[in-house]
Amino acid sequence: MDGFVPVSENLSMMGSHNIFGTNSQISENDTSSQHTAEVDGSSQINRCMAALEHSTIKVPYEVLNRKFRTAQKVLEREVSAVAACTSEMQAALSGSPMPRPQQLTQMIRGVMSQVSSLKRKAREAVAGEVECARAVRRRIEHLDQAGKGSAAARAAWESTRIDRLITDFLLREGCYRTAKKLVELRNIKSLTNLGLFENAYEVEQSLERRDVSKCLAWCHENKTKLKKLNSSLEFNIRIQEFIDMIKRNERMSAVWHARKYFSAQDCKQLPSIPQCMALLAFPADTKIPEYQVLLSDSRWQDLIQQFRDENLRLYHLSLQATFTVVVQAGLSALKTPQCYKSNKESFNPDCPVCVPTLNSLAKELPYAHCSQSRLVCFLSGETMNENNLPLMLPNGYVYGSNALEAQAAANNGEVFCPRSETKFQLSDAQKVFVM
Amino acid sequence: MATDPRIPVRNEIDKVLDKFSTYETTTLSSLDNVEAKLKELLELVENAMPMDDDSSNLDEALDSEESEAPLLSSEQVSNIMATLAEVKSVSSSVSAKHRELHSFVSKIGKCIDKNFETSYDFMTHQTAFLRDETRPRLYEIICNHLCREGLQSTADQLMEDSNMNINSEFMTKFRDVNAIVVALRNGDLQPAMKWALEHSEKLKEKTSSLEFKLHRLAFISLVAGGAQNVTAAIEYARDHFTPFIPNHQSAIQHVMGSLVFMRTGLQGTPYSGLLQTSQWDDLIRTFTKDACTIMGLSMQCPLAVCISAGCTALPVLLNINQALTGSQVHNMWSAKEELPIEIALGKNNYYHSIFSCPIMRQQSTESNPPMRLICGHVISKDALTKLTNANKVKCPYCPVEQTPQEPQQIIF
Repeated sequence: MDGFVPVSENLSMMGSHNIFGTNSQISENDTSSQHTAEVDGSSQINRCMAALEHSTIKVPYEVLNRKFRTAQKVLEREVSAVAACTSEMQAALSGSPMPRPQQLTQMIRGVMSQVSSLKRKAREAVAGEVECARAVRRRIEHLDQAGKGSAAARAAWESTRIDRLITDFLLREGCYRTAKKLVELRNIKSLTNLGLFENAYEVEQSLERRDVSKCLAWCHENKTKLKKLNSSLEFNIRIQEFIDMIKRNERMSAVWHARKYFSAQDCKQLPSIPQCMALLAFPADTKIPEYQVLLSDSRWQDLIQQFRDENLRLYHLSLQATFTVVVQAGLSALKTPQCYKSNKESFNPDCPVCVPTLNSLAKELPYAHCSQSRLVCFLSGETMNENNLPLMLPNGYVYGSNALEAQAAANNGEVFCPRSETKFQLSDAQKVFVM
Repeated sequence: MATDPRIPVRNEIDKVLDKFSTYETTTLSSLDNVEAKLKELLELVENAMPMDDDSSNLDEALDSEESEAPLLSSEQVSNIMATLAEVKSVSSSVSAKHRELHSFVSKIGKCIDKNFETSYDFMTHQTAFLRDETRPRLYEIICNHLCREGLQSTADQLMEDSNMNINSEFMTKFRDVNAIVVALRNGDLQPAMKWALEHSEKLKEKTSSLEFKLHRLAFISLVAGGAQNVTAAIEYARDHFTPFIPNHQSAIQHVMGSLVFMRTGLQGTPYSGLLQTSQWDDLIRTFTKDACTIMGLSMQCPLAVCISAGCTALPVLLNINQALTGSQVHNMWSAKEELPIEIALGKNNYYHSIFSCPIMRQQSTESNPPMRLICGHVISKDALTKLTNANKVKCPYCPVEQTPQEPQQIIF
């Protein structure tokens, strides 16, 4: 049930939040002219598009490409059928004796039905291809909506972008059901590649159950492309079957299996064959590490991972989800040394990098680069500058003059440093000059 | 200025759609054409057949050595052959012309690859960012995000799909908050009131107006209920408004004034604003804000902020990736270093002070903190050490001198 107000919709309108519950206004940088802002804005959007949306458009294109190739094959089949019966009739007419009228009408009807079948198939093929092309176009049309319209519309587009990124990530991770739920609840089916991964999910599930039939069927279906990619998936499955037979002590079957499937491999795969064959000589509970590795169950997980990667490569998708890339870039751009102070005194609950989970993820990432100092008052979140002078309390903690003066006014000249939990007189504060 | 990558791709797609449309009309019409011709042929042959279509007679007739004159003249036969040849060529052009379309289709793909970024190689690291130990944390972040967005069931599904033990502390906290928000959306103030009572101390600390707003809305609901509630309304006001008089005096006076119109209803009065749903929306926002604050959570979803920052940062990083040479790029993405370029995220995303020493041109860290000289100017500790000469330090901005012990470490 839809309950919680998605706070992110207020992203653009909210000032920074402070711990005393009041909102402070952050003024816009109004030195840039309106025109420059617009030009920069659209340039920014263009760069964003180019950086992030490759797979958004490429995947429906690949679907179109596949559809085209199958359509071409269908048409060629139909055309040769037409040619065949036409040739038959031509041969009959030029030979002797002249075919009887009945035979003639039969042949003509035959040609007519082939032609009509060709017409029908051509119509279907084009309809399918046009639909695919339209699907690619629809994605572009969605991308066209970026940065347009009201603030609410723009926020909604960005929220959809987050959903798209998460969905893509979940699908790649094999969390198909979660992705499906998210897609349905947010109504973004046409913007995500759910269908593509549905089949993959079924194969993955079957591999989890140690059932190789679906995977082999998939390999067969995509034989040519997998060959182009030098895929070793099918071979690895055969190896796994071999190992499983050994585990079940069906060594004779294993030998037959090896004879059937292992001799046809090209040189690249050969190194692993002797090792596997040697496995025949060892019991299933052997303690020798090299062979334990071969017998371990984790090989099934490796198979699943390999299947995932090959599936991605089949559709020319990058092996890294855009989601992880964006998260890394974002964490890095937000990461400051203050997020990693040993006493955590600068903890800001609004800073994503300060959130414990993200904090540990961001540890290995580079810090944001900052060429000029920018100071933020810990009490109010306001920038500290000539309009809000930074003041140092006797213990070295610095706060903005606005916040301190407001406190002093309400408390007889007294101010409270929350990080050291000490009280001071405002009059004891000293000015700080940061260039 | 960066060009719009969507435009060329869209153009290629439109071209393809156009080509397909042309293909369809010409193909179908040419096939219609040959179909018509074949029909003619059929009629021709059928007309040439003898009237008596009793097959047995026909067979007899044809079996006889004495064959009749040929059914079709040689001219007719050559017409048939011509038609058949046309059928062949038209049908083969159907598949040939379709094949020609492929170059246009593949142009789309090439255009996409040319205009959109295909790889993020610069971000690879010795240890992959997404690995077994980091995976649960990423999943947790996504779970929390889904919770905040009100997609509780999806979050639960993720816990199930991932087979991971995701820390659900946030989710449990949020589930309670969520339930209260759902109740508020249904016009039920009770759970919120209960929550406010439980956290009354903390709310007072934060000078929150939540409790007052809750009571005010309860009061208004009574008033809007009609004149029969007048006693209940007054009692409610007497019982609950008193503690709020110091801070919300004028608001209380205003809302008490609505009692005057209880009998006639509040519509069209200066108090009609009190009935609007915007009051409830505002209440929900206040509750959300205070609940988050008290639980030490951020107002905005951290994942959303992070992704938004990433969408700004990534194009910049890709841009600089092109400009840097190989070795520098490799170092760009290792820990303990900074990104090579500044990324402007907007003032809303400045959560911490950053002091960049103007002398050493480096960010201050725990080991290299900012120091305030006695004249008030601030430089980093490293700069201070560098500028110390024979136990004297001269401020780089003003003629004031001091000993190296005098500057004080400050925390922004």
